[in-house]
Parts: sequence; C-alpha cells; structure tokens
Amino acid sequence: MFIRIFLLSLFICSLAWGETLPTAVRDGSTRFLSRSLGSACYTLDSVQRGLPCNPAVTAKERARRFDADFFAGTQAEYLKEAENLLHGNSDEAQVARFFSHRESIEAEVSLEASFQAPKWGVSIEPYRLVAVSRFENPSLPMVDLVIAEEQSVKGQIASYIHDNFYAGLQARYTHVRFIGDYFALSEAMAGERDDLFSAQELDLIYLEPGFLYAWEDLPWQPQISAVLAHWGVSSHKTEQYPIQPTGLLGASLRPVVPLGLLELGIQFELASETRNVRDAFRAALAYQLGILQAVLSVSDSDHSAGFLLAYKSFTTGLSYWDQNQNRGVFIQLGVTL
Amino acid sequence: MRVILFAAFVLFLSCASWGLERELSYDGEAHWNEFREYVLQQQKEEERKGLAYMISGTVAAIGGTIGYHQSEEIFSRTIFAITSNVGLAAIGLGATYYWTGNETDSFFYAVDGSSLTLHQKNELLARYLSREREERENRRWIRVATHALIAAVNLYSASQENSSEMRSLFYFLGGANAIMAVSYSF
Repeated sequence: MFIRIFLLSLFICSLAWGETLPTAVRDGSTRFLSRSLGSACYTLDSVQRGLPCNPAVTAKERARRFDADFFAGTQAEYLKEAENLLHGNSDEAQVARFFSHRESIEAEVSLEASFQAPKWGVSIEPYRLVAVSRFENPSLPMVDLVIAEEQSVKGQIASYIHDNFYAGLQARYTHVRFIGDYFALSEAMAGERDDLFSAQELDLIYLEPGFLYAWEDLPWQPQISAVLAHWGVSSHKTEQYPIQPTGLLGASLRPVVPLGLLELGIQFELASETRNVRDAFRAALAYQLGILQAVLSVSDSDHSAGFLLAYKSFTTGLSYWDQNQNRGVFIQLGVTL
Repeated sequence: MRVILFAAFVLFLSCASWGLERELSYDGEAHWNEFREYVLQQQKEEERKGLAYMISGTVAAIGGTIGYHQSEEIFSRTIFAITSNVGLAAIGLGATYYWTGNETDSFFYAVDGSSLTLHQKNELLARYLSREREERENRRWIRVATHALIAAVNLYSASQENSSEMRSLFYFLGGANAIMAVSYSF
C-alpha cells in the first residue's frame, strides 16, 4: 500500500500540469464554423455564421448581416455539473457524479451575437462554457481537466488592397475564469478538493491579421488565404491558455455545379504543437442547396461532418465531431437578419 | 443552460416577424424597360430558388425523419425533428417561389399588358416605386424602434436584477437588440 501511494505521488509530481486546451477550443472563430470546418474555416467562406474566421474576408462582404447563435454540445448534464464545479457549488456527491463519466469529453456551450458590414464587423460572446477532460490509467485513474467560462468581444476591419488582394485584422479580448489541473481521481474525492478546484482568472488579448487573394472573376473563384492566429498577450502565463501563434495557409475553389454552391478547400496549419507534416493538413468541403448546407472536414487526427438548415431568418444545425477517443455532437440554433 | 435556451428563444421571438417578407429590392431609375428586365431576371432567380428549396426541403424532410429515428439523445432528436418539419415547410415555400409571383409581379403584368404608352408606364412606375420605398423606409424605422425599445427594457431589467445569471441574460438580450437596432438604422 505504502509503495503504491509513493509511486502515485511520484507520478503526480512528475506530471503536475494541467491540460493545454486544444487549439480548436482556444480558437476565436464562430463556434459552428470552427467545430465543423476546423482550421479550414480560415479559407472556406461560403458557410456564413457570425464573423468570418479570416478577417480579410470581411472586405469581400457586400451586405450587412446580424447573426445570433446558440451553440452547444449535447452533454448538457455534464456541462451543468462542470459549471457547478467551476463556481464551487458542488458537494462531495456532485463531484463524485461528475467524475463518474469515465471517458474523455470535450464539451462546450456558447451564445454569440455578431454584426457584419462591408469592411468591418463586431461580435460579443457573453457566455461560453468549455469542459475538457481526459482519463488515463484505469487502475489508478488520473484526470486531466479544464473547465473554463469565457466572455469575449471581437472586432474585425478589412480592406481591399490591390488586384484581388484583401487584408484584415481581428482584435479579440477574452476574459476567462477557469480551473485546470492534472490529478489523481482519489485526490478529487478527498479533502484537497478545494485546492484542486480553485478558480483562476485570466485576460487575453489577441491581434490576428489575415490576408486573402481571391480571383472572384474566374469561374471557379479560387482563393488563397494566410492568417496568423492566436497572436497576443495574456495577463499571466498558464498551461491551459498558452500564447502560441499559429500560421494558417489555405486554398479553396468553387467548382461550377448545375445547382447549388460547392466549395472545396485545403488548409495547412503550423503551430508549436504540430509534430509532423501530416498533422498540419486538413481538407474540407461545403455544399449549399436551398435551405441546406452540408459541411465535411477531415484531417489526420480528427474529422467532422455537419449541416445547417437556414429557413427564412432561422438556422438550425448539427455537427458531428470525432478525434481519437473524443467525439461529440453539437447543436446550433441561430437567427440571421 | 436553461437560461441560455430561454435567451435564444426570446431572441428568436423578437426577430420572428421580420423574416416573412419578400421585399422589392429594385433600386434603379423609373424606366419601364429596365424594370421589365429586372422583374424577368428576378422571376428566373425565384424559379431557381424555388427548385433548390423543393429539392433541399425533400432531402431535409427525409434525412430529418431518418435521423430522428436513428439518434438516441434528446438534443439531436429535437434538431432532426425540426429539420424534418422545416424541410416540409421549405417544399411549400419552394413551390410558392416556383409557381406563384408576388405583388411586384402582379403590378408588372397589369401594366406590361396594358395599352399605356411607355411614358405613362414610366410615370406609373415612378409612383409605385416611390410608394414602395416610402413603405420600406417606414418598415425599417419601425424595426429600429422595436429593437431599441426591447434593448432599453432589457438593459433596465439588467440594472435592477440581483441574480447574476438573469443579469447576464438581460444584458445579452439588451446588447443583441441594440446591435440590431443600430444595424437597421443605416
């Protein structure tokens, strides 16, 4: 028993960090876009919800649009328990119930309103809750957990520069209250619960420039995009919200089809966590016909498929996402004016 | 979570009335031949749109029904049920676009088939467009006033509310409606 405890303590000491939130979760893009298209949303712009991922696309917009979106993972009970844990409202039984989900989960819920005009746009996301957990070692369960509540504001400006070339800039401010740690499950059940689940606050400011070269006059409307995302500063250094600039290069085109609008794209994403070339590539497809818009995105580590149904001013949608052990279903409800 | 769903529902309701119109978007001069070209072009566009709505509506109705029976958890089932119903509604809307016209079409055919001279048609068109633009402007300001009022009420409620959850809800509704009011005002 003593040896077991000793080994466990050593193990905890050697790995005493919290999980870094996945890039996709730290991304500032409108949630349906980043969850369904992944990083390919920086190049594909036929799916329109909220502000475009690449701020330079704002310069191509001809009309004004207001979007309000509710986006949520279907693990509602898990999210509710996570929120209680974050706010310190969980008793022993509730903590036990929360950790009874012995599976890796990536869940989120968000409410966002945005307004876009030609060359500029603003967006507010007054509420977003993210919960990411990962279980390891079933015999002596270790948990990697991040629960975060965010409020964000972002603005975009963009302009036509020269000869099919557009440039834009996104400024994003996020206030985060979160708990994040790597710990043994037995610790969570024991007296150290208050220390483990004490919330931290963090302020983040990002400046994310984007560029677009679009041949809009050609039949297949090819375009090339480049974005520097997650480039910013934080009020203090954390493992969960590291400042890791990400370079994104992509290309897309819209093959002419008899009915509807088809867009195909490929994206290359280079971040500090990119380990090999295969990890960096992603292919995506979007097809719109009448009220339906289907999206598909594939990379080496994850894939997702989803659809949006836009009827008059209202939009509903579903997005299926799958990555190694993690998978999730997300719903989207929206209004567009 | 319930508060957020409530916020989304209230926001949908506050926007519900604006999504039902097929407004005339002709901004050109009162020249009958130009207007004729515009209307015929619009009709082609609406036929195409109608066809796309009927096809996608059928796909949504069938896919939604299958998805509803295949999925197990409540949120997905709800979205699939909505998809199925909206799909059926879209077939009807598509048929409307494809086979029926709107008020502008009625006006167009009434005047185009008449024995009026081109000058008289232009004069009639000028009066029609002037009236349409006036009504469009009125509709726009009614929207601005409605959303500004909703924003003011919600912001006031937020300032009086003790519960932080409800305060966030009121601020969101106030902010969203304020953005809508501003977006309609120019």
